[in-house]
Amino acid sequence: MRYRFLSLVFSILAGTVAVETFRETLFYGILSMVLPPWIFYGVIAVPVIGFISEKRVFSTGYYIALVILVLIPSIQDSELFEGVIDAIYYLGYETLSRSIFDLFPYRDSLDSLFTVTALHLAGIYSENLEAFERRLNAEGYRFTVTPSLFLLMLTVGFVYINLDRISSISAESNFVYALISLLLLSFSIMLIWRLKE
Amino acid sequence: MSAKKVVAMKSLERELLKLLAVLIVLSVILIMEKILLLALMVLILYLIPSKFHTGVTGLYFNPPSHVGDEVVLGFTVTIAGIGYARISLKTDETVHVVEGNPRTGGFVPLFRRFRIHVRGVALKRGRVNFGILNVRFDDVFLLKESSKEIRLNAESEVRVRVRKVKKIRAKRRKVRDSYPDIDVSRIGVPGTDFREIRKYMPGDPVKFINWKATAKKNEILVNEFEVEGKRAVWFVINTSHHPFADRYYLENALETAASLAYYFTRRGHKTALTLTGTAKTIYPDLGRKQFNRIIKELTTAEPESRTPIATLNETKKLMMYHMPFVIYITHIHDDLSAFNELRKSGLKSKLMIVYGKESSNTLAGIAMSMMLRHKIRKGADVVRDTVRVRL
Repeated sequence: MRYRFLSLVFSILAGTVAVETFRETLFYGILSMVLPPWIFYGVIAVPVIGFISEKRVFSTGYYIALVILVLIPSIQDSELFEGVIDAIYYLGYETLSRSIFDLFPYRDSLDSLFTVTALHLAGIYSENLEAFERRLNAEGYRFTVTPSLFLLMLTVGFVYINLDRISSISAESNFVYALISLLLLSFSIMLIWRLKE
Repeated sequence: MSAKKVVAMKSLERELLKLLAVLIVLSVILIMEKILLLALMVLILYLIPSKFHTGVTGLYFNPPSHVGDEVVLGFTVTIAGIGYARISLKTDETVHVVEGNPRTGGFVPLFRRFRIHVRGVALKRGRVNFGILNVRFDDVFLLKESSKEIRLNAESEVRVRVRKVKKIRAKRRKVRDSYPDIDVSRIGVPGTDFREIRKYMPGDPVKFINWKATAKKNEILVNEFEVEGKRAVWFVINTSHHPFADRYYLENALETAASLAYYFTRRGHKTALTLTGTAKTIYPDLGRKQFNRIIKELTTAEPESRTPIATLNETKKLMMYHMPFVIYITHIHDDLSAFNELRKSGLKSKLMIVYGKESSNTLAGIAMSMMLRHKIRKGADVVRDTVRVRL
C-alpha cells in the first residue's frame, strides 16, 4: 500500500508539472477565456480515482495525456507541425497558418517532459515493487526492495544532470539519434522476445 | 553448479516496454528526435548485470540415519554482486523443519553474508542430499534474474526405521485364520539343506560344529541348515498411487513392514516382499541377508502408478507355489480388491490398515471412521504406528 501511495504522489507531481508547463502557453491563455482555470487541474483526479478504485495509479493513458500537455509548448520543434502549417499555407490560407504558428510559440519543454517521464518510471516501479514484495512474502522471504527505488532515483538524477550534455552532442550529429533509435528497437525486440518465453 | 537466466518481473518489463513504445511512437509521429533521449532512462536500467558469485562456509551437518531422526544443518552463504539474493534450502520433501528458516535473502550491496540454520526431522528415505541450495539473484532494478543450484556436502543414507515388535498376539476372538507360528524359538527344525557357516552360540548342537572352519579361523563355527516347518510370510505393501494416500501413510506402512520383517526373520520364517506400485517382488528367503534386501527395497520405495490388483495378478502364481501367509498392508481408502483376490485364491492372508495423516476436518474424520469400521468387519487390524503393532 505504501508503494501505491508513493505512486500516487509521483502521478500527482507529474500532473502538476505538466499542467504548469501547459499554463505557460498562449494556447492555454485562449482556452482559459472559455474554461475556468482550475479545470485543467482536473487531470490530477485520474490517478486519485485509480488509487481509490484499486486500479493502476500512473497508467500509460494518463502518461500520454501529460506528455501531450507538456509537448504543446515545444510543438514548433515537430516536423509534423511544421508540415501541417506549410500545407495550410500552400493551400492559400496564409493568415490562418500564421495565426496557428503564432499560437504555439516555441519554448523548450524537454526538462518538463523529462520530469514527467522520470516520475512515470518511478510510478511504474512503485506499483510493481509492491507486487514483487507481496510475492516475496508469499514465498517466505522477509526483506524489502526499497533500495531499487532509491537507486532508480539516483540513476534518473544522473541522466538528468547529463541531459544537456547528451542533447548538445546529439544536436551536433543526427548519428546519435540514429544510434539511440537502433538501441531502442533492439531492446524492444529483446523485451518482446523475453515476454514471449 | 548450473546457472541459467530466467524471466523475472514480467509485469514490470511489460510496463517498460509500453513506455518505450509510447516514446518511439511519439517521436515518429511528431518527428521530434529529442523525445528519443528520454528512452535513455529506460535503456540504462538494463545495463546493470545480474551476475553474482557465491561461496559456502561454516557447514555443520548432523545427519539422520532413519526416517524421523533429527537433522541439523547450518551454513553461511557469501554472495558478491549488486542486487537481491533469495536463498532457499530445499526441504519440502526431505525435512520437516522444526526450528529455523530455510529461506533467507536481502539486498546485496556488492558483498553480503547470509546464515541458514535449520533443525528438523528427516522425511525421505534413501540416499538423500539435505544440502541442496537454490540461489536466485535479481539485478538491482529487478529486470533480470539469475539462479544457481548449489549442492553442499550434506548427503546421508536414510533407512526405514525398524521398531521393536515386542509381541505379536491375536485378539481374543474367534478367528478364521491364525497367524503363522509365533513360537519363541529362534529357529525351526533344521533340515538337510546347508545355508551358511556362523559363529557358535550357546545351545547349538555339537554335531553342527564345522571343525575344519573352526581350525582355520581359530573360533568355533557351526554349520547352519535351512529350517523346516515354518511358513513363509509375504508382505504386500500398497504403494500404488492414490489421491488420499499421503506420505505419512507410506512411511508408516514401510516402517510397519520393516518391523514385522525383522520380527519374522528373527524367528526363522522365510520372508518375501511385494510393492504394488512398482510390482517389485523379493522372493521368499531366510536370514539377515534377506532382511537387508527387504530393507534396501523399502528404503527406495515410492508411490507409483501400478494398481494393487494388477501387481497381485502378476505375483499370485509365485505366491501359490510357496503358499505363504500374506500380510497385506494398505491404507484406509483402499477398495480391497487385491485383498479379496488373495482371499479368493485360498491364500491365508491378513489385512493391516495403516494410518496416514490424521484429518482435522470433522466430517472427513467421521467418513474415515466409517470406512475403518467396514474394514475391521472384514477382519482388518489397524496400526496407527509401529510402536503399537498388535496383530
